[in-house]
Amino acid sequence: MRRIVTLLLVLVGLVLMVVGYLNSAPWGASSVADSNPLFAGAPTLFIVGIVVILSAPVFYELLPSRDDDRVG
Amino acid sequence: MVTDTKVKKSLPQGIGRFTAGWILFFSLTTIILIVGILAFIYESQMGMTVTGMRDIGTQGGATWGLYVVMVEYFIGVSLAGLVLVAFANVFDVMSLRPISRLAVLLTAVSLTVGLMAVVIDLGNPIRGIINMFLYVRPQSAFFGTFTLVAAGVLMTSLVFLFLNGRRDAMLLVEMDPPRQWFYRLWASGYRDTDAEWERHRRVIFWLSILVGPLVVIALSTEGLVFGIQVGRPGWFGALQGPDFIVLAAASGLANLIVLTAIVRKVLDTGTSLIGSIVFKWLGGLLLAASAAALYFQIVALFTLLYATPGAERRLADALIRGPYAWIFWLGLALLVFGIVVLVVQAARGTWGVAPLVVAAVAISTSAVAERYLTVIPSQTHGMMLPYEPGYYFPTWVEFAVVAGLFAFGALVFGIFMKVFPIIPLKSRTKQEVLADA
Repeated sequence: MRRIVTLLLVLVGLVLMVVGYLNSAPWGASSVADSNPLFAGAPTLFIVGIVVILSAPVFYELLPSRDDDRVG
Repeated sequence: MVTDTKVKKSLPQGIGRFTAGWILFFSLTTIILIVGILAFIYESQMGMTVTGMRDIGTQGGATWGLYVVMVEYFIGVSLAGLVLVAFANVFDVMSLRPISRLAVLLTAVSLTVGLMAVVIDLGNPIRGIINMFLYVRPQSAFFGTFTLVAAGVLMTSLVFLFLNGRRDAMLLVEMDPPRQWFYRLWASGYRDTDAEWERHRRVIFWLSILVGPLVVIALSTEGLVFGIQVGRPGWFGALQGPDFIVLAAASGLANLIVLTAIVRKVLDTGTSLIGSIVFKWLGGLLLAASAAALYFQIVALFTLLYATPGAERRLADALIRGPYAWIFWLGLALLVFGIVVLVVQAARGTWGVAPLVVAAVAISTSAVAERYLTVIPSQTHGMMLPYEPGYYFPTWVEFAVVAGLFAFGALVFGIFMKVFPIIPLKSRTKQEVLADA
């Protein structure tokens, strides 16, 4: 469960980053005038993607695991 | 029953204890911060005309002034802390463990202050922030600053700080401190089991692996902001990115040395908590980074002087014998002085705290001078169009705002030290974990 959540967060973050980037900087635009973000807020998706990926380690550590009861 | 006072006294590293010195520190930093805020409010009401900044060329000034210099400086300072901790984690350098939290906090605080300086530099900060989230364009190097630096590096340092602090928070809860809910929240259920310890070790290792490239790429964008501007003599060039990183490492390590020395002095048990081996490591690394920074300065200067066309030549003259000469030579002299002090210490094999702090202050001041010379002269003396050379000097408003930023940073450090151990509490070493297993 813990690993699935972590992996999911990394994947969701990556998708958000790619979608955010591609929509912030339209590739193949013929002129500078066409190079604006495709929709307002697209750069925010990129930023949110980074934050989601970097929150994955927190979830990885915080979510309980089966072998947590072995006290050191 | 144990009284609150007794409990507070038993907390480690002076947490919750306010001596006269601390009260004076908090009072002074708060006053300076308030003066900075008032100066910023004054600037917001009167407009940027109360600063020394003017349009380039037509008004003979610079549109990027002291605030942008401080953006470069503070974001540069942030590099060393996180990278140093990542290095210590990957290579298991236990000697640097006592300053790991201090180093990460330095990264988080200097990044925050650097980003505050960006916002302050905007004529209309609120509009700037909103539009940034809506329309910032990846074609601009600033995109990297606002995404990879602001979101990436700052978030990473906060994650580091949080995860590395969970065990200490748990230990503090056991000491029954006031505001226990805060420490419980930070510990977030940590129980120090073998499984948790191993998971934490794994997370920190992989985060540390990620930190190197992330920080270098993110902070290179700061250098690229200048390096990719074709029409600005002194800025355009492939060296701006690496130069920024190298000077960032030097200034960051210098600040870390000063902070480590202060913490060592301030804490009752500082000398035993932070051994001389820490300063040996920091001194050696600072020497390497400073030598590299000097090399970059010499290469950049040589390139600027050697058979350059008109605009570059005028800029070089302004730097070497013109209005910026005193900053240039002072900065260079301070850097060389710092390196000499470090070399002497290395040759003797003894890394005294006092000489190390002197060298660190000299190198850090030199870094401010270098950032100033990167940002300003190219605007006032690097015009491609036939304008007269310009002039820029910060006004009291800019100095007050920047002093406020420094005070804010110092205040955050002070507050942190009063609520949480700045030096990690005794932790389990790898050998102890193996022995337990």
